[in-house]
Amino acid sequence: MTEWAYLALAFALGTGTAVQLQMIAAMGQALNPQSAAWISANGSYAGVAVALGFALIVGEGSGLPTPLDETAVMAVAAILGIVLLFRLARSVPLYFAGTGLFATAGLIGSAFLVPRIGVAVVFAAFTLGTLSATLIVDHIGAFDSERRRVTTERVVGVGFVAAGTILMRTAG
Amino acid sequence: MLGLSAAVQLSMVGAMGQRLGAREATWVSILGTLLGLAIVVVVQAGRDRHTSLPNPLDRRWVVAGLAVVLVAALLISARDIPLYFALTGTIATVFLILTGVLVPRLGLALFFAAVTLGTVSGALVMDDLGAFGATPQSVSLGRALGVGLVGVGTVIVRRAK
Repeated sequence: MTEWAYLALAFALGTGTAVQLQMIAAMGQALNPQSAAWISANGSYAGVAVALGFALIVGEGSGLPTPLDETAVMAVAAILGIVLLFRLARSVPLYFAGTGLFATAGLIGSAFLVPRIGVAVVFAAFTLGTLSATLIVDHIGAFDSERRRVTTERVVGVGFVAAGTILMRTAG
Repeated sequence: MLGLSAAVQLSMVGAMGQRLGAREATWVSILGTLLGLAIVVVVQAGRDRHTSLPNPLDRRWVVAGLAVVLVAALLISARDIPLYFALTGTIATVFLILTGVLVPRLGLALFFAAVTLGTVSGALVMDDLGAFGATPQSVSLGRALGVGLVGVGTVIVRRAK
């Protein structure tokens, strides 16, 4: 049962990547590609800084050299990142500020899952989640994108990509 | 090409994660991505010294100053690992910018299928070489077949109406 929960988590993290890519594309059209990229990376930065700061607060320590292993320094780094993120994202709907958090969750979530179910299984479930979500995101035209309906051919094509990825990761 | 570069980045993040920890490797990678973006934005800034980013990063000197801070943070963060790891995140710079350009034109499914093809092709080579200290894993028939299936799937998604 627990293993299924881990698989579901890896799949969900993969769907998050699809949503993140579409949000970057939408911001790229609303602002420009550089601003979209910056807002996404800034969000990832803020997310990791908060995670590192939290780890220091609960006593897990940090693998970063001094002075970045000090709680106060990481707290300042996180606050500056969050303030800058919301300043930059104020000309787009507020939820776009969360775009980069999908990457943060994906990276930290993978680090949690890999020791439990193995890198090949995590990678396969993650990629399957992303590929499935790309079809849905295209189909509904998420974030005002052009709609590309789900067809049998597209499902088969994505199925081949998923099967090939799984084979690549599991074959000896 | 974006997928190939993603494979290199994933290998480098994985190698850093074993030395520093997963969160710390992510931190180093993202600092590099922001630095790469800052350099692109500063270089692209027009003669009026304004960048393409929203306020307060719409002035070139502000982004240039931020780039200096990012370089300092990267040098500190990568003190205990080979210096080239500080460049890991710069690989994602091009990926992020081109996502905003290519996804609206190709659609998300085709874009990601093509990226996956590049990633698995790159991973095949990186694994074979044992890049960045990883245990070498030679190209087998099963793994090559996997890459082939991804290629076929990408072509099918491309041709689908």
